Amino acid sequence: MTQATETRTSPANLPAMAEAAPSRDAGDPALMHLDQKEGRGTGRLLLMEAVPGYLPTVWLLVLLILLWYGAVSLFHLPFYILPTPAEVLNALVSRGWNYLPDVATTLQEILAGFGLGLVAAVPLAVLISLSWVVRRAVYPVLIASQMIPIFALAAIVTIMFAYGLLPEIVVTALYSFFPIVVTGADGLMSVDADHVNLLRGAGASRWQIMLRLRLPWSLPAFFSGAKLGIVFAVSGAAIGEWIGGQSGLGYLMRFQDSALDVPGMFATVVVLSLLGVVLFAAVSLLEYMLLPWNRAKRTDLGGLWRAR
Amino acid sequence: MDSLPPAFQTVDLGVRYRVARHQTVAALDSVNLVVGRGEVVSVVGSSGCGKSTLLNTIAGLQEPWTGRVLVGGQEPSSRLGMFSYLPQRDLLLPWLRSIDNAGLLLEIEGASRSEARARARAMLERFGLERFASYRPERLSGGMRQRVGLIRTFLLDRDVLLDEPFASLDAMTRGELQEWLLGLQAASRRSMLLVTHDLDEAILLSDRLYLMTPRPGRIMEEMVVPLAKPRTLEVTGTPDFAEMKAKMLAILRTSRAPGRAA
Repeated sequence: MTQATETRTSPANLPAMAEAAPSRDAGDPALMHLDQKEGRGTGRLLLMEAVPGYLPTVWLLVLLILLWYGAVSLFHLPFYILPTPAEVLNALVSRGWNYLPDVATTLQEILAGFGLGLVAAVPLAVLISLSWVVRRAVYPVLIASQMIPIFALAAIVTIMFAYGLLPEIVVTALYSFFPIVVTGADGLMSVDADHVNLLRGAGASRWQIMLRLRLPWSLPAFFSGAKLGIVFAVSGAAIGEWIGGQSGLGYLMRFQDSALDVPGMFATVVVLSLLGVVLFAAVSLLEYMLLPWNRAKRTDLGGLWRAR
Repeated sequence: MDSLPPAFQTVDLGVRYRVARHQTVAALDSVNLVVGRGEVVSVVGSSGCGKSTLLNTIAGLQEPWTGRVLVGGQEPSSRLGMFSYLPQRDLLLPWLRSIDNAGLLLEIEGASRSEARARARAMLERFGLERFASYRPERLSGGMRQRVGLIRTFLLDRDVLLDEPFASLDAMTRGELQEWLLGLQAASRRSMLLVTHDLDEAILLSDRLYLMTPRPGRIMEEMVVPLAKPRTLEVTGTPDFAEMKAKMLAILRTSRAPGRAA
C-alpha cells in the first residue's frame, strides 16, 4: 500500500518528548493540505486506469455474442423467437435518438423512486437498529412483503394511484427500499461494542453515539444496499411501466412485445441494461468519493471502481 | 493532602457474571484500591484476572455486584462521563483524521468542532505529531495510532483509566511510548489507573501498584515504587528497579504455588 513507506518509518524518527521538535512545514497549519494529499482528481485518474481492467468484460461479451450467433444459426431460429445480434444492433441503431424520451421517463422514475425508497429506508433502518420491539415487529412483515410478486404489486399500485408517473415511482420505491433497510440495519447493528463503550464511557448520549459512530460506521453497508437498490429500481421502474405505464422503456417493451418486434425488444433491453450499469457505476463512484477511508478495503468486486 | 479525599477508590468491590440461570462466577472479589490525586497507580496481574472488568466497572460501563466506587469521596449516580478511559485497542474512528480523532471526546463533552480541533492541534504539535494531523488511522502505524488514542484520552480534563495501553506494540515502540506517556503524565499531573500484565511497565510508570490474583480477581499486595520521578527508560537498568521486580515476581510466584490456588 502506498501509505506504508511514509508512516512506518516515521515513529522512530520522532523525538519521544518533542517539545523542541522543529516543525517541518512551519506556518502551514496541518489542515491546509488535507485535501491535496488525497481524494481530489482520483475519479478521473481511476477511469483512465480502469479501461485495461475491463478487458475480461469485453472478452466475455464477445464470447456471449458468438454463442448467441451460434445458437441462432445452429437451431435455425426465426427472428421472432431469437433475433441475431446484428438484427438487434440494427433495431438499436434505427431507433437511435428516439430512445431518449423513453430513457428520460424511466430515468426520472428510477431516480424519484430510488430517492423515495432511500428516504424511507434510512430512518426505518435506524429504528430497527435502535429498538428490539421495532425490529421484531417490522422485520417479519418487511420480509413477507418482499414475497409479493412485483407484477402483482405493480398492478395493485396502478389501481390505487392515478395514472401518470406516480404508480411507477411507487413500485420502484417499494422495490429498491428493501435491500437498503436490511443492509443498513445490519450495518448499524454491527458496530463494534468497544467503540460504543469508548463513547459511552466518555458520557456520550444515545443520539451522539448514533451520529458520531453508528451512522458513519454503517455507511459502507448502506452503500451496499443502495447498489442493490438502484439495480432493483431499474427493473422495478420497467415492470411498473409494463403494467400501467404510458411511456418509458418498460412501456416500449410491452408495445414491441405485442407487435412481435422481438429485435426491437432486445434492443430496448440493451438500453435498459446500459442505464442500469451507468446508475450502478454512479452509486459506486459516489461511495468511492464519499467514503475515502473505506477504499483500501474495497476490491473491484464490490463496485466498478477499483481502489488502489 | 490528607484532608482531601482521593481521586477515586473502590470499596469492597465485587463483580460477578451470570453464566447460567442460577450460577454466577466471580470476576472481582472485595477489591479495595485507592488512587490519590495526581498519582499513577498500576494493577498488575496475569490475563484473565479481571483487570478489564475492574476498569469497566470504575468507568461506569458496568455496575458492581457488591461494594462501591467512590469518586472524590462521593458515590455518584452515574460514573459515565467522569473518567477518560482508553481501552486495550486504540479505537480510533477510521473516517476521522488524527486531529478529529484526538478531539472526538472533547466534542462529545460539548466542545465545538473548531475548539476541539484547536486543542487537539496544540497537543499534536506539542508532541511533534502535527505532520500526522490530517492522516486517517489507516495510514498510521500502530504506535502512532496509540499516541493519537492517548492524546484523545488526555485532552479530557478527567482522571485517566488505561487498559494495557501498549500490549499490542513491539518492544521498542512500547518503550518509546512508555517514556512518552511519562512525559504526558508529568505535564498534566493526572490521576491515573493503569492495568497491565507487564511488570516493567508497571514499575516504570507508577507511583504505587497493586498485585492481583486471578479468578476471582483479588488484591494480594500493595507496593510503593521507590524510584524518583521524573523517570526515563534508563531507570529499568538500575538495581532498585531490578530489586522491585524481583520482589514482585516472588510474591506472584507464591500466589501460584499449589495449595494456595483458589
